[in-house]
Amino acid sequence: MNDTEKKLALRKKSRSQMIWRQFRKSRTAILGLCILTVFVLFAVFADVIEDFDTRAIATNQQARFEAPSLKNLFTENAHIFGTDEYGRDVFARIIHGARVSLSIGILATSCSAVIGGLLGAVAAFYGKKWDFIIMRCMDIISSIPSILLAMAVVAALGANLTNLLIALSFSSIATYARLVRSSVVTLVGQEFIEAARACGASSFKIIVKHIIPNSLSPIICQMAFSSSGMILTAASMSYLGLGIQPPDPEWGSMLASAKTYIWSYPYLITIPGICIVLAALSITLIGDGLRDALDPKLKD
Amino acid sequence: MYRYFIKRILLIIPTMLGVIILVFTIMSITPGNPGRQILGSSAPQSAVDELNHEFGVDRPFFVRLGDYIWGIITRLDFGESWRTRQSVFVEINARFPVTLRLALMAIIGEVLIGVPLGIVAAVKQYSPADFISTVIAMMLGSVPGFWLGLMLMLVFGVQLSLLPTAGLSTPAHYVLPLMTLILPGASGLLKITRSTMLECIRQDYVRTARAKGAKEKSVIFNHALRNALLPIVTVCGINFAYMLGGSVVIENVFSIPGIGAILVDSINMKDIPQVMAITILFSFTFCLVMVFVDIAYSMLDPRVKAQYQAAGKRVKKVKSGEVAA
Repeated sequence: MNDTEKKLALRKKSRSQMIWRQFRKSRTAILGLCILTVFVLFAVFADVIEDFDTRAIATNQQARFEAPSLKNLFTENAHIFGTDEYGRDVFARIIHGARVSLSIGILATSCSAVIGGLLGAVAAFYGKKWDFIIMRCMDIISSIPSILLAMAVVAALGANLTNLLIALSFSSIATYARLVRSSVVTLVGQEFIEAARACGASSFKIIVKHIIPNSLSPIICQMAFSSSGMILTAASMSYLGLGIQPPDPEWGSMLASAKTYIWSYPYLITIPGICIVLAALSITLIGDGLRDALDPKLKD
Repeated sequence: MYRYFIKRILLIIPTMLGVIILVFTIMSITPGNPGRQILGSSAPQSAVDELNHEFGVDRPFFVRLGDYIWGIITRLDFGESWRTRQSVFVEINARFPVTLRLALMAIIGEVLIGVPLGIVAAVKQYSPADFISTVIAMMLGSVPGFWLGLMLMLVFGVQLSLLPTAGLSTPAHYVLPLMTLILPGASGLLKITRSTMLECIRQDYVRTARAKGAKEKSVIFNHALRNALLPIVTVCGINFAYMLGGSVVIENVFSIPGIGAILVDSINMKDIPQVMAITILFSFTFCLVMVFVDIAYSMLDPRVKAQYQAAGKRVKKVKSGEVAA
């Protein structure tokens, strides 16, 4: 018994190593991973690098609209990305905003993947009545354009971070339910599931041990792509004033307040925007790499 | 065949009913009551109660839901806006054509730019043209629409002073919003065209066509593209529907008096009936577009058409079998 477990562990390790080997081959995927790592590091150590209250929130009328410069780089007055209309340091707001954006991307994606995935698995596994009820509900959810659905949820609950998360997760449940359902439906018909059932495995055990591991790779790819989409949608919602509320720093709401100054201080528009693009792009690149690495057809 | 289409169109009805119930339920879980939210916390309770009574929100949930659905079915009545106290269609009728016109122009632009570039990229795979267009498409895919709009505004409106940046009064005003809508959509279309064309070009029937001496142009357009059209049409349909949603943000950037502007205003002012009506209207448009996409499938692809016909026949057979039994 112990021996088989060891063997299993070994096989598992080699599988992830194989994926990593494939993934490493793609230069763009590695580039995406590097960019994302930089963002994650800045987001994690945001409080160490720039103090939240004094640099990102407190207004400073003397230091309004300072242009980006490398002057005073290692002093307290460093403004490498300049300052905004309240004299707040743009760099500090960017890295604290990265915290918000990245966590929205991760949390909203995982919530919708878990809930949607479970619904899809239940629909496919129990079939018939459950399948019909759940999938018709998913049809209804997906026939409302997702950003509108998110807006409706925010309109009902009020605009703040938690509600934005609920709205974003809710609006993309249907994608995961469909995805998981279709892969489970093909799996359920296969012989190894039948064999497991013949050995007396419970439905729960079959789902957890056999179905989930085998249907994971399309879900992982979809999660990578949709988390970059989530970051973009969250930024759009905040831009419209339906997400994170000022003065809290968020890339979209920074752009919204900067729009007034587009004529005189364009750097307030370009810098947060480039951050959104880089964050979304890096995740997309990683998703592309993962899709290729997880594709069983390309396995050698 | 036609039976399938009629069935497909009739299926919109239960879906829309579901959408109405879903949207109504979401809008009813508002914490607190609408009267209090509109009047503010300092207003006397009597005034709040009166306003709630006027809006009818003091009645039980299922009564309101029933009334709402009944009103829509019998009179196409989506209620009155709480802000203007007029039918919600007063604002929608004034603004929807603007949004629809923009979306239609944008989808045409997308197809004209995205599909040809995708074909070129696939036919000349690994050429500089392929590389450049793929990279640009990938970058554009990660750009949020509103920031693209702001950047175009910055470059063409502010720095170069070439184009106007707000409103829609002259043709020149359309250029920037349209570019903002077209570029990301066209890049998505380019990606899907390129990948499906690459798949089709490698198929045996394309090799056969080449082998029998068909002209390269005919091989690409009649043999490869014809077979690659299905995913392209799907993406066009989805893009069009999402453009209606995405235009909410773009209209805000360019101060366009479209339906997106009232949607955001209505959300901020807690004008629930207006928000519901717009959401339901957009969902209805989305469903319609998806039906058109389905119908377009069968026109484009004889295999799909045959499937529909076969499905119709099967139903008939089963029914006659039942009668016989």
